[in-house]
Amino acid sequence: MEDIFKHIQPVEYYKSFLKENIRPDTRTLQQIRKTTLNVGPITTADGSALVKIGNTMVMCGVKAELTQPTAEEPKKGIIVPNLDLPALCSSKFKPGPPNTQAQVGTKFLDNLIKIANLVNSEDLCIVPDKLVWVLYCDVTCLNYDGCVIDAAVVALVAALRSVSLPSVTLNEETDTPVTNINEKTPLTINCLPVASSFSFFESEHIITDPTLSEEDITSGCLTVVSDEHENLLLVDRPGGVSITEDQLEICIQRSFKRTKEVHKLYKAVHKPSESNDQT
Amino acid sequence: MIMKDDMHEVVEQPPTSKFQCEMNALKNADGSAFYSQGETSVMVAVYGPGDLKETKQEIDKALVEVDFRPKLGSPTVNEKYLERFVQGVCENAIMLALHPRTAFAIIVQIMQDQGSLLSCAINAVCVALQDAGVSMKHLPVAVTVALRKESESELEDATDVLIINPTIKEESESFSILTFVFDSVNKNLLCMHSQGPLLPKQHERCLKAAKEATEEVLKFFRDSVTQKVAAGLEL
Amino acid sequence: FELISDEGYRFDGRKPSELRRVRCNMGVFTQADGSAYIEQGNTKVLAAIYGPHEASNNMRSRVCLDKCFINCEFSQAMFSSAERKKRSRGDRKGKDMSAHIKQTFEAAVRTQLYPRSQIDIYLQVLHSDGSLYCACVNAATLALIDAGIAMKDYVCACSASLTKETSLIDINHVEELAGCAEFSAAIMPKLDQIIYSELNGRIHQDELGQLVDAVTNGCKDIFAVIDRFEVITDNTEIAVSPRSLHS
Repeated sequence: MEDIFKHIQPVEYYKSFLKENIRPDTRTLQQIRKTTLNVGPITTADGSALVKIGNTMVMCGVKAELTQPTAEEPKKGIIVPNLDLPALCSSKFKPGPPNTQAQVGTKFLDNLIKIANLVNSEDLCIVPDKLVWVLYCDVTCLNYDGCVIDAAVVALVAALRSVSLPSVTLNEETDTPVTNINEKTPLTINCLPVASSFSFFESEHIITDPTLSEEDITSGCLTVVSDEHENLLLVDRPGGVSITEDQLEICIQRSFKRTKEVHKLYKAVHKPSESNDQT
Repeated sequence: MIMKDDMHEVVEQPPTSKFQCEMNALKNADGSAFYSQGETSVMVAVYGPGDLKETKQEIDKALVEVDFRPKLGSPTVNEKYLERFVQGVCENAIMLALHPRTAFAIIVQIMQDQGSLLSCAINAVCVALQDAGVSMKHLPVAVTVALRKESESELEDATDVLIINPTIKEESESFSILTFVFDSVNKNLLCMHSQGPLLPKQHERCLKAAKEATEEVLKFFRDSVTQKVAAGLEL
Repeated sequence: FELISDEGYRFDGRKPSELRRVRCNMGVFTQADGSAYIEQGNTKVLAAIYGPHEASNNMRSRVCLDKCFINCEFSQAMFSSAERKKRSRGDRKGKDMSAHIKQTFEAAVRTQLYPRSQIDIYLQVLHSDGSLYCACVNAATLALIDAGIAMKDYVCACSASLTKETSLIDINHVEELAGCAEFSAAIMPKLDQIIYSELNGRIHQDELGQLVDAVTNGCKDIFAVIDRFEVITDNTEIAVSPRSLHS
C-alpha cells in the first residue's frame, strides 16, 4: 500500500515524513548514512578502494603506467580520473557512451585533484621531458543510491593513498625504463578532501546525504568539498531553488563535521591491503 | 572593479564600459544576445518553446537543453560541466509549467574567453531569454569573484584582494575563484561554483561583495531592454 | 614451466580436479531487480539483472510477441587485469563474451513466460584471473534466481585444460596463458544438458571425451557448492514476498 502511494504521489509521501522531521529511511534530516571504506580489494590495481555510503557502492582502481610527459609541462606527471556510471548501477542509466552525469562527475574529480593539489605532479616525474608516471584512476559506481560524488571522492583519495610506486630508472644506452619492483615508495597525498552533498526540498528543508528517491524529488544539489583544516576546496551548486546565505552556512558547517568523521576512516586504513573499518 | 579589504580605497572603473550587449543579434532565433563582459564575449541563441519527440516530453513542464560550444574544436567534458550550471539556472528561472510538452534549446557559443566565463555566459543567457520574451520568475544574475593573496602577507585572511569579474590574468594569479548566481527578486543564492581553498569567512566576504555587484548588472539589463524597446517603438 | 609438478600439484597448489574457492553473495545491490557477486579464486564478478521490463527505446525492434529477449552487456573494469584495459566495454572481446552469455541464457530462461519484455543482464568484472566466462555465467545464474526470473534449471559453467594426459579443472590466468587447449562449458546440472561449449586450442579427437567429462564434473561440483549456500534458500523467501514497484 505504501509502495503504491510512494510511486504515484512521491512528493506527498515525502512530505508526510517531513512533518514528523524524519525521512522514509528513518534518518533525521541531518543524519548521514553509514560509511564503509575498504582499501586494497583489487590486487591487479596499484591502488584500490571500495566505499559504501548506505546502499551507494563505488569502487576505485588506480593503475600506474609510464609515459612521455606533455610538451607544456615536461617535469610533471599526469593524473587521469574517470567516473563511470554503468547501466548496471541503476535503471536510470542505459547502456551506451558515458552519460552526462558521468562526464560531469569526471570533470568534478579532475577539478578536485588540481585544486586540492592531491598529488605533487613533480613527484611523478622520473626523467624530465622523457619519462613520467601517469596514474589512471577509474572510479566505477556499482550501486547508485544518491551521493555518488561523495563516495567517489572518498574512494579516489583512499585508493591514491594506497598506491606504492616502484622505483624506475632510465637505461641510458637503450633508452628503456628499468623498473625495480622491490623498491616501492608510497605516494604522498597532500590533503584529504571529503565531499558532502545536500539537497533542498521546497526552499525550506535541507536534506543531508540524499538517497536516489530523494534526489529525484528535491532540487538543487549542493556539494561542498572541504579538508581537515576547514578549508573549502570546491563548492558546487548547479542551480535549483534559491537558498539563503544562512542555509548555505548551515551546510558548510555540517560538511566540516562530516569531514572529521570521514577522516577517522582515512586514518584507520592508513596501512593498505589488509585493514578495513567503518563509522 | 577592485575593492581592497579595508574599504577605504575603492578603485572603480566606469561600470558601463565593462558590459556590452546587443540583443536580437541573430534573426532566425527566437531570442539571441551577443554579450560581453570586459574582454570575454559570448553569443547566445534561444529557441523555444519548441516541439519535442513524444517519448521525451514531460507532461507538466518544459525541458531545457543547453549546448555549450567552445571557441575551437568540439564540445568536451569541460563544456558538459558548464552546461549543467546554465541548465540548472534556467530550469529555475523560466516558468516551465507554462509550456508543458515542449523544450527550450539554448545554444551558447563562446566567442572569446578572457576570464569570468561562466558568469558572462549566464548573464548572456538571461538577456537572450528576455529578448525571446520567455516568462521568467526572476532574472538570474551572475558575478565572478576572485581572491588574490597580497604578496607579502602570510596569513590567509589579512589583506587579500577581492576582484570582481576578473580577467584571465587576474584569475591565474588568484588562489580562489567563485561564481555566484542570485535571483533578482529576493537576492537569494541560486547557483554557485567555487574552486580554490578558502576559509568560510572569506567565502562569506565574497558572497557579500558579489551580491552588491549584482546591482550593477541588473541596472545594465534594464538599460539594455529599455533601449531595445525604445528603438522598437520609434519605428 | 610445468603446469603440474611431479607430485601432481598445480602451480597454485591445487590438485588437477580441484576447484578454486568459491564465495558468493546474492542481493548485493538495491537498485537492480536481482544481483549477485561471485568470487572464484581471484576472479571477482558482479552481475545485475534488470527486468523483465518494457523494451527500451533503442531496442524496440527486437521485441518478440511470444517471448522476451535477453540483452547482455559485459564490462571489465580497467583495473581488473595486470595491464590496464583501454576500453572497458564495447571492445571485440567484450562483445564476444556478451553474445555467448546471451545465447547461454536464452536457452535456460523460460522466455515464453515474459512476452514482449526485455531482460537485461549486466556483468562487471572487478578482478580477472582466468575462467571469466564461467564466473560470469555462475554470477548471472545467481542473479537471475535473486530476481525471481523463471528458469528451466541452474546454469553452472566450468573450464578445463588438458596437459600431460591430465585434465585441469577451473583454470586460472597463468594456466590460460600456458597455451594448452581450453574447454569451457555451461551445463544445466539437474537436466544434465550442455547448453554452451567452447574449445580454444587444438586437441586430438580421442582426448575430447576426457575433457568433456572433466568439465561436466567440474560444473556439477560448482552446482553442489552454490546449491549448498543458505543464501539461496534465504533469498528465495525474500524473492517470493511482494516486490516494490520499479520505474
